[in-house]
Amino acid sequence: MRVFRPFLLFIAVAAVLVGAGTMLAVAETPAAGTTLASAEPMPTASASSGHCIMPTPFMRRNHMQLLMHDRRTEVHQGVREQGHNLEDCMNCHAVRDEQGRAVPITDSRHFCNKCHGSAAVAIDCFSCHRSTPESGRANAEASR
Amino acid sequence: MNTDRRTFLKTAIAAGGAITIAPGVFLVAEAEAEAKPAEEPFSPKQRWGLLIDSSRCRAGCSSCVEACQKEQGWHSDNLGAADPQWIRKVEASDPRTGVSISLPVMCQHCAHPPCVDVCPTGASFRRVDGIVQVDRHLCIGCRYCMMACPYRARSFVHENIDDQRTHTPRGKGCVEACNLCSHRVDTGGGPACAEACPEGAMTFGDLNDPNSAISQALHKHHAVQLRPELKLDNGVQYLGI
Ligand code: SF4
Ligand code: SF4
Repeated sequence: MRVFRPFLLFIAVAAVLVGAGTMLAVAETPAAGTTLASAEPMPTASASSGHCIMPTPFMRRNHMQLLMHDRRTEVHQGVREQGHNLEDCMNCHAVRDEQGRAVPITDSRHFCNKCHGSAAVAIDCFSCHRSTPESGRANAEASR
Repeated sequence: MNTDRRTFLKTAIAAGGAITIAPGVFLVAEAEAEAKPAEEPFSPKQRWGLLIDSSRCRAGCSSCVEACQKEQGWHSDNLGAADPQWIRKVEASDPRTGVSISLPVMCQHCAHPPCVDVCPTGASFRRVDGIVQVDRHLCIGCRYCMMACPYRARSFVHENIDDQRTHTPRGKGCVEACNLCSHRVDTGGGPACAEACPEGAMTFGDLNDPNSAISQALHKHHAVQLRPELKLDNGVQYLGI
């Protein structure tokens, strides 16, 4: 219910301001403001492999579940699913600055910030996890 | 430990090239630690432990501490007693005789860990293979465990960090301690400190495997646990103290 409240408010305000005729149109396309559409974050895999572990639409909706599930089974039980860890995400999705260095999470260009920045969702992962590739292998691959 | 090194050690040992750590005690433990298949869980059949021979440990040497810092990515933040500290060198002397010993002290990987008893969130936990560690996802930084640990093995991160090692996530607001280099153990290696010790004073291995070097050494020599009266059944034990 909480999710819809801003929309209801928006619709109510719109109704008051421009009349009932436009209300239907607003309700049909609630998120179709032109500024929003053009700023829609489009994370692209700068991956050396050229593809993600799952299709982009799946990852957009479910990457947090994958990470949450793996952290339980990995830290407490030791089950490591290949390719399902944050290290691999960072290795593939590193964004390079002009000097070719991977930018950290404090930089707005960081891959995760493309969505999380515009949605203003704070992510805690990187208060402990490294947000850039560390290994020479990943750096070499990414600069190819 | 990478495959090449493991293969080398195995070959060296097969060829009679074991490394003597004490009369009649041979260091072969690292070669025995088999890599756990990544997709399989930890096994309760193992209990990882460390045997430290203080008669070999040199006063003033801090190779193990430096190796730990490099491997786990921690360093002094110039906070004195509040600095991160996964392992430290302790020099102790008998005031009557003047005889002194030197030994590294880290988390003792207790079988009955007080840190786990007091943790309100389940962040402090004991893996079924004996390694005690902190799940930083769950740690709220209350520091109960620091106060509960009889060995002052744990420290708290007070500063923001952005230069972590990939295999060792660590950050402000969480407690941390030695985890026996679990990332290395899980891939068939041993702790960085044991590998770095120039005197071969540390033997890492499986306490449950009667053929491991650590078990063999423990059968031949009288090893002691620090503060044995607490009956915590430590995974880290000492010779020569
Ligand atoms: S030595 Fe301290 S930190 Fe390590 S398991 Fe025992 S009580 Fe916990
Ligand atoms: S500081 Fe973290 S690990 Fe220690 S007792 Fe509190 S929640 Fe548990």
